[in-house]
Amino acid sequence: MPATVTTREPIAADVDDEAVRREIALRLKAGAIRCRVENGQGGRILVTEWNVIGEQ
Amino acid sequence: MRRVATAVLIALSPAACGTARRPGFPRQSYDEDEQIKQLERVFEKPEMIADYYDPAKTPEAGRRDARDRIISGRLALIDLNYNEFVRQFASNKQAIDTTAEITAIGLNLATAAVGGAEAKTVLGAVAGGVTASKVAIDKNFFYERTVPVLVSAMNAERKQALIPITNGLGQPPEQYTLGQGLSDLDTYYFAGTFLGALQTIQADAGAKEVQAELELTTVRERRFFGKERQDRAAELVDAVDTLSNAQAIALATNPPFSNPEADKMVAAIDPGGKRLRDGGAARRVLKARIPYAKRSEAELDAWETAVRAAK
Repeated sequence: MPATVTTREPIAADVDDEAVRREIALRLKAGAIRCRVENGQGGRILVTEWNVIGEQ
Repeated sequence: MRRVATAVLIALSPAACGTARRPGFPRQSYDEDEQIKQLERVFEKPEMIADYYDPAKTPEAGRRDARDRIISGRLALIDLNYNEFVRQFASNKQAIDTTAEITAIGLNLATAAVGGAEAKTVLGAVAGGVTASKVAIDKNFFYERTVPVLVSAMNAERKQALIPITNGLGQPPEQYTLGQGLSDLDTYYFAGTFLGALQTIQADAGAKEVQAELELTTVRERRFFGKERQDRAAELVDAVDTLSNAQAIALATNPPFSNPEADKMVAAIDPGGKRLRDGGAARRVLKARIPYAKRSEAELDAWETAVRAAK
């Protein structure tokens, strides 16, 4: 596996799924290698994975 | 005695034994070598890249097709060569094993069968040499469990490296430039090398350090996901691709808006500070940073002004 950094950002409860899908598309466009939504105890989390520069 | 030994060696040579060309691999449905040659004739032409950037030879309307053709052609070549590469190691290992083992058995049998102490001593020494050389090969040549581990690591790494290429090919050439595509192809190629696999394994060994997780505490509110703000962020990502190396480095060195969370994220993905001296790294960092802007009017305005000014 390449060196990666994963960010986890809580999503407010009133954000609709379509808006989250657009956000995922934006992250992939910006170079993320993966982006998904996880359901945590406190609600949804936007999980985005990035390659570390120079490590892949 | 010499005739006996020679006859045994000839009889047990790989050719005489009919050793399979590539044990463990069925015949492909196409002639791989010929396909590689054909693709090389087209995609290894040095002028291909220059032609792409020459508006007379590649007009604007044809750029996407031309980019896709170059990237997908080279991708296919890398894949075919990778298949050959992997099969070659599987073949060598098994072929050498088979050859050495059969030869050693044959020589041992011959040693027992021939008469005379001198003949037995000579054949015994040859048999010992063959067995010993096989052991040496086993110890020194990637072998035993090493090759399968490396191949698994290469396969996993190649899958990862393919993602930005397939994502990129779905975008217009202004967003996913040929330069970026070629750079991604280099990464993809490197992922299919033993050196790349070793780096992967090393990285896995320190997985806890390497796969850093950043818990961002700011809850992303509805405003953050507003379509208009997302569109502006997407346009900024596109604009970053049009920056020259110097412009990208300048902007990555001095971002126009203070954002500690984005700073933390940037420090994590570029711990070596490559963005401060390499245009490609600077563009990657800038694009990755933009989604982490808080997307207030002030922040988006600052970024748009800075990118416009940089161009």
